[in-house]
Amino acid sequence: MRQPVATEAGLVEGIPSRDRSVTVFRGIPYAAPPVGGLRWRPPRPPEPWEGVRTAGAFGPICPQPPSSELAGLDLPMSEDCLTLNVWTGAASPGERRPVLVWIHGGGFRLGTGADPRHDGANLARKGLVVVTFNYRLGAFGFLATAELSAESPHGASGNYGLLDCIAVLHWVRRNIAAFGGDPDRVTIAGQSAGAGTVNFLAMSPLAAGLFRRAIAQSHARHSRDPELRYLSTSYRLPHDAEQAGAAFAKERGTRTLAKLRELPWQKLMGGAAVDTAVHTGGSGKPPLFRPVVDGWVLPAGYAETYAAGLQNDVDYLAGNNLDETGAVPDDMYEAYRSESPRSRRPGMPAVYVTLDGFVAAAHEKFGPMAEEFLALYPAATDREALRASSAAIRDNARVSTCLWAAEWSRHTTRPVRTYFWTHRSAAQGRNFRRASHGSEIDFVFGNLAPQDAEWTAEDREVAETMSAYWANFVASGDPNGPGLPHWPACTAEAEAVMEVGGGFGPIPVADPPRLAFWKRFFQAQEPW
Amino acid sequence: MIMMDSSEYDDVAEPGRNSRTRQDQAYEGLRSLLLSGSIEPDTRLTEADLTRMFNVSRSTMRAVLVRLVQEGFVTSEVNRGVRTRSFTVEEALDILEARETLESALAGKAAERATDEEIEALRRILDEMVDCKARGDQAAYSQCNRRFHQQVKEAAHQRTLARAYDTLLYPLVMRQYRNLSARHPRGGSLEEHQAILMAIVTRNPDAAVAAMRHHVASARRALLLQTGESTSEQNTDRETT
Repeated sequence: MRQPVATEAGLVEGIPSRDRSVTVFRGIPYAAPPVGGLRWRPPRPPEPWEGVRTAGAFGPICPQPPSSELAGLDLPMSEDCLTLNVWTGAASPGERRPVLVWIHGGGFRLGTGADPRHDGANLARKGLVVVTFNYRLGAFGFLATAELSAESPHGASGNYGLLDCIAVLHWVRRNIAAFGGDPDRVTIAGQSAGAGTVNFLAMSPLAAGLFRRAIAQSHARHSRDPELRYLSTSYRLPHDAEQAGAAFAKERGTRTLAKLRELPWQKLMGGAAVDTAVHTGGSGKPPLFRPVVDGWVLPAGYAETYAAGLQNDVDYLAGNNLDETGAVPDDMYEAYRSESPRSRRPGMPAVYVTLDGFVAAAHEKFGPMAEEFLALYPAATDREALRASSAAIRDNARVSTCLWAAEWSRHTTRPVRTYFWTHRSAAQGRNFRRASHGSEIDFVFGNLAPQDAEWTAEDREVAETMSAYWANFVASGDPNGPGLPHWPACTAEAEAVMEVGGGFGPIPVADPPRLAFWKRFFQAQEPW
Repeated sequence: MIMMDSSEYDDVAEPGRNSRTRQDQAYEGLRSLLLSGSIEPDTRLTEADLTRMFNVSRSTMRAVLVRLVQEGFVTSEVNRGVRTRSFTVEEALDILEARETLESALAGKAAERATDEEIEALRRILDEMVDCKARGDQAAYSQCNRRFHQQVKEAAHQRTLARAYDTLLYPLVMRQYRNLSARHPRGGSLEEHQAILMAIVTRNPDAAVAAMRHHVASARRALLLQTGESTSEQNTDRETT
């Protein structure tokens, strides 16, 4: 795609990627800069431009807590950050290639579509058109106040970040054909907060018809799983969100929206990283700024939406990882024993390296079912406590996602597939091999970034398989293809999950007695 | 590589990786924010904003600011508060002159001491720069450019010079005085890097010193220093040496 491409707002010219068959377009504005009076408003269309815009550089990253990791990208931070990036291998606009829209993670407060791990060149080489983008984060994306709700014709506030994602999907709908993409074959995919966003968009009437398939990489969970409330799937109710918004404004010495809009963006950074008011049955807490069930973008929570079948009927692929949400490999026992408590981010789920801690947490989480839990996940020593805790966390995740699939499918027609990622690569992590939160991203994109890490032949093989599954799913809704181990759809009878990474094939979600326990535990919880 | 997804949100940080103190994290974060050019020169930074931004206590932030004042990243004056650095033309020229001296000396030492692996790494970076230039990928060219200079510094195996080089504030100077309307990469930039590599490969310290001195001086001349005209416009990286 060497010739300039016509978008609604003007012509853009991409540059060849390292693999010359793929062209990348970086930093295309998909909305007007959300600054001044447009701060905390639904995104507006971008200003059209004259002539050809060179799309050679990523746009600035959205305001977020600075980190040395982010500094490696060498991108400035600016409130004017609503840009997207496109990778395409199409030679002409006449082609109709399947489209993957990737939503980055980072707890609704960090991240950028310019992350090199999300480089779309490899998947574009496999025939997809890949789109990544920035959306508003933290207070910029998720502030709710009574005054904001009052000025909205929908009486809603707090979902500006989600509205940015929806604006991208509208942009894709109207513009992606010019890049050789098929606007009728769009998949949204994301990891962590990106997966949370995928789940929310799947429930949003505003996103209906804008995508046909969805991929949630950590997590999609059953509506009665308490962990739903602190993971990236967590949402707020308008009253709580507006109260937090009022406190946020007061902290900055302003009481009116007009004054809040006048503040320089540097004054709107930070704030409480964690929402401690949420009861999650454990130490895990969600970030304060996150989506709101506002009655407009999100009409209802999970249980209500699924029970009424109000969600968008799309092909779904969702899964969890072996070493996340507090589960860690056995050989990290000593490391966690000697870990400095100061290095822990507030709100993170605990890793239990003492028997006392494990037993106390079991009583807090399971109440009257705690003894039964401890009989199923027995531990007599500190070291055994870590093993039992990790086993329970993994069972919880697999069972919950499996039950979610059944819950989701009650009123939908499209198949759901679930996975459990288990590949532990030596090239990731500093000291320990583990299938940590987000570790599958390098393999799904097939980039194995950074390129100078010591990836093995096995890593390359796993990346080839994973990216093939994902590309197939985006193209047809079915990850299966020639030469790939068969991945069956999820059914209520099977109660199995597809292991990917460490091995490839269906595995039971849990041993029968443990499975029965988790089902009864979830049944005893409030739907959410 | 950014790891924010994996080290944040619902995951548990890997022990050892995140064992840096909160003060170190805030220091690194603020330093990188200043280097990224996100805040204009001579902007006032208030302790209240910074403590909120980094979620640390006032005393921790004060300690971070003391470090950054000492290193010259920010200034602290009575009645003016803590501000991002704004360099006068004289200060900028002084820093760039020091860079010419230090970095050419490092290049000379690299010609004497670079290992085969280090030379191979330089070669790979240069190949990538050729590719970036051919594709018109300015952002990737800039990143390679930085890696090239870091690699020369490492290949010099001269710790005292390297430490002095690291304390130079020239990245901030380049930000403040870069010429956003100039062609990028600057004409001759690629060839100058090739000359530096050739001198190192052929183990010719004098030639390496001369090649690096010429390169850094050319980069200086491309800045908007003659008129003292400064630009603080935020743009994606256009800075190249």
